[in-house]
Amino acid sequence: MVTSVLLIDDHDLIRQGLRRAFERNADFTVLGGASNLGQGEQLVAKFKPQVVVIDVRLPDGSGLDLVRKMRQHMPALGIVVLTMYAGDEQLFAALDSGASAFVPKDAPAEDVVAAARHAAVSPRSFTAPDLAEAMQRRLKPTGPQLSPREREVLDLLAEGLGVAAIARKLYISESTAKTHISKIYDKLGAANRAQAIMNAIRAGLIKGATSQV
Amino acid sequence: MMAAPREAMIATGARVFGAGTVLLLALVDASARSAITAAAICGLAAAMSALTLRLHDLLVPLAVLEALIGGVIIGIAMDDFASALAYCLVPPFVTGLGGRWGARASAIVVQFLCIDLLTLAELRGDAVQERLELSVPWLLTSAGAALLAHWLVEAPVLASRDDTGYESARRLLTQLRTVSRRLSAGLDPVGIAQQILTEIDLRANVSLAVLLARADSGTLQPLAELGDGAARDLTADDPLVMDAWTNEAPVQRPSGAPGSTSYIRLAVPLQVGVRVIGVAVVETDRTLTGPELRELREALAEHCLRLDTAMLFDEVRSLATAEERRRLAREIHDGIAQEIASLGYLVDGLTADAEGRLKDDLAHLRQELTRLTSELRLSIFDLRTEVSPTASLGAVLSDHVRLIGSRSGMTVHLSLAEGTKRLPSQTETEILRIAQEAVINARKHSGARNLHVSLSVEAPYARLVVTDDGRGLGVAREDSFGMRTMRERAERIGAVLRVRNKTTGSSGTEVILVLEDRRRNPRVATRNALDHLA
Repeated sequence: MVTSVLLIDDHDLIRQGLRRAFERNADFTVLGGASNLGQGEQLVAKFKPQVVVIDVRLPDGSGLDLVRKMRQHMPALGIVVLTMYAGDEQLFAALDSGASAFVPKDAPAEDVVAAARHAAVSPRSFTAPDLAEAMQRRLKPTGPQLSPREREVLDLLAEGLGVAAIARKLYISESTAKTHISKIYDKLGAANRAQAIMNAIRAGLIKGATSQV
Repeated sequence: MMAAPREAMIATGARVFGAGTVLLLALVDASARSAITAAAICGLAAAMSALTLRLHDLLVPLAVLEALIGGVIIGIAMDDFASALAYCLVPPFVTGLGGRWGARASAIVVQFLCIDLLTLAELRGDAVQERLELSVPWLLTSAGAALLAHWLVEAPVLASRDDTGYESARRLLTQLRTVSRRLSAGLDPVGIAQQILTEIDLRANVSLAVLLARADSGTLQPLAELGDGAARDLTADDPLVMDAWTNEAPVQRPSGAPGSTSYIRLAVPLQVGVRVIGVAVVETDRTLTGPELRELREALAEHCLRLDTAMLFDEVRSLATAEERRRLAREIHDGIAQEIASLGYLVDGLTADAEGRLKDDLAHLRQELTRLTSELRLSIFDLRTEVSPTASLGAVLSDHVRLIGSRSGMTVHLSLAEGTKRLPSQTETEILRIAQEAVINARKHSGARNLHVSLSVEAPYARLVVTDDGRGLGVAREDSFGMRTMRERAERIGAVLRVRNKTTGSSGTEVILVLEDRRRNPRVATRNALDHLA
């Protein structure tokens, strides 16, 4: 079975290169190319391709807007997003918009063909070469970083201890305890204890429920 | 020249004044002749004003006519009521508002011919001389009145012409260009902020002081502090600060912490004209009196203007730089990067058809093109990375460092300690750029496997350490372009930068940037110390 492809990119040489790459593979046929969003949308409606290969940045707007639109109306359409940008935000934006694959422009043309092959088969799953690493980068906490001592003080604060009690428990002076607390508030962007604890839970610094005192 | 209504208004004002003066002098004189003359002049003034206001295009001809009639009236009355001469200033003044120099001269000449010819007709030699003595000074004065009116209309401040605003803006910008070229470190808002705190310290003997200035996000952020941890203890959350800000007046209240000696907390709004640009918050041991506060604010006024200018200048410069970086990123993205990428696709095609040795060479070429495109993608990413009111230095730096790390095979160890208080956005930007440069150097030149980046920010201070375990600095690197730019950036925010090979244990480079109180860590002294180390 031959898969039909439509290319949307504003650079002629890129479209040419990709067209040749698809033509080298007997299981693909390129229906046409568009150099902007408007033209792309028209050709998609006209040719009804099985896979669309589209650049993120196009002269008349973001390619991802068109991806979102196409995904809404054509759940079975394979969509491969190409990009020259390096940031993770593009990758996640492509994922959110409903793309089937994400390929950076420094990858060989065969990678684009492989992505299109994947997209044609399972349009609703997402692949990208850097996906796992990007996920890791996203999951690692970048939020507030407390020193070990501040973590201890935070835990005691969460248990409901007052300044004096915290100072006694950690064998530090009350003023030192106060300094720790004000630093914790500062780092967590909180004005009081309740806010500090809420923000700390959100940032994953303490567990939601304190089981025992 | 067409007379605008505004000139007609001024003319009316001059006439009312002239007629009023004559009327007053007539009251003092209290004779029948003077009363008649004054009445005639008032009538003339009223008639001319009414006509001018209605037909303001005819301002100049009417004024010449007025000179003629007025000259006759004054000439007739002159022997008994010489004070009427006062009105002879009015017609030349009015022609001065709108006429050409010919019209002005004719108004003056016509008027005095009328005044003096009336006596010449009587041919009394002594009377003529007397008249001339009386009228010649007025002749000169009315010429002065015409000049005055001319200046009033043409003066740049009063003339309502659009290009005058541009003219003064241009002059200011030229000055700014000259000044900014002379100062490599810009106008240095932090230095000025510290001067302001020192100024307050001289008068109020403060133990803690912090200067809060308005940031891009609209919140007040510390720009400079005096005393350890002042910016931590004296924050914008204190209602005192809001009070001083909204009421535009200093506010002070005792603030005795339990168990410690009581002190006074004072918030002084920093104003330029009617605008508040920040608040200085200090802790002092006594209440300042009203006169002392007034004196303090007067002393601060000049500093405030300088601070405002410096912050504005920084903002303008960083806006321009940011825009330029974005433009450059777009240009690389839409241009050279796409072309090289398409070359890559072309080589892919050739590789597919090639065989043997050629295939290997083409594969190698493809690798190079991929590497080049990746470099360009990272350059675009680098150029597009920027701090914003919602993305703090720490957040942006961590995203950046992690991505670069994962693209380069280095393991990135990141440690961030960042409070809620932000540094001024220009300072954040400079630190970010220094960190980016350090990371790029590590990635490109060091061959390092581990990259440690640690950033701690406690506004207004910050500390950045970037170390790697690569092969260390090359010989020529010290004054390379990247290195020089880093130094300039550090200097611009008043920070101390040290770039050197690690001194302990393993090989590698360390880049340390310290932004702290300049008096505690005088730049010159530190510089010398660093030179010894280098």
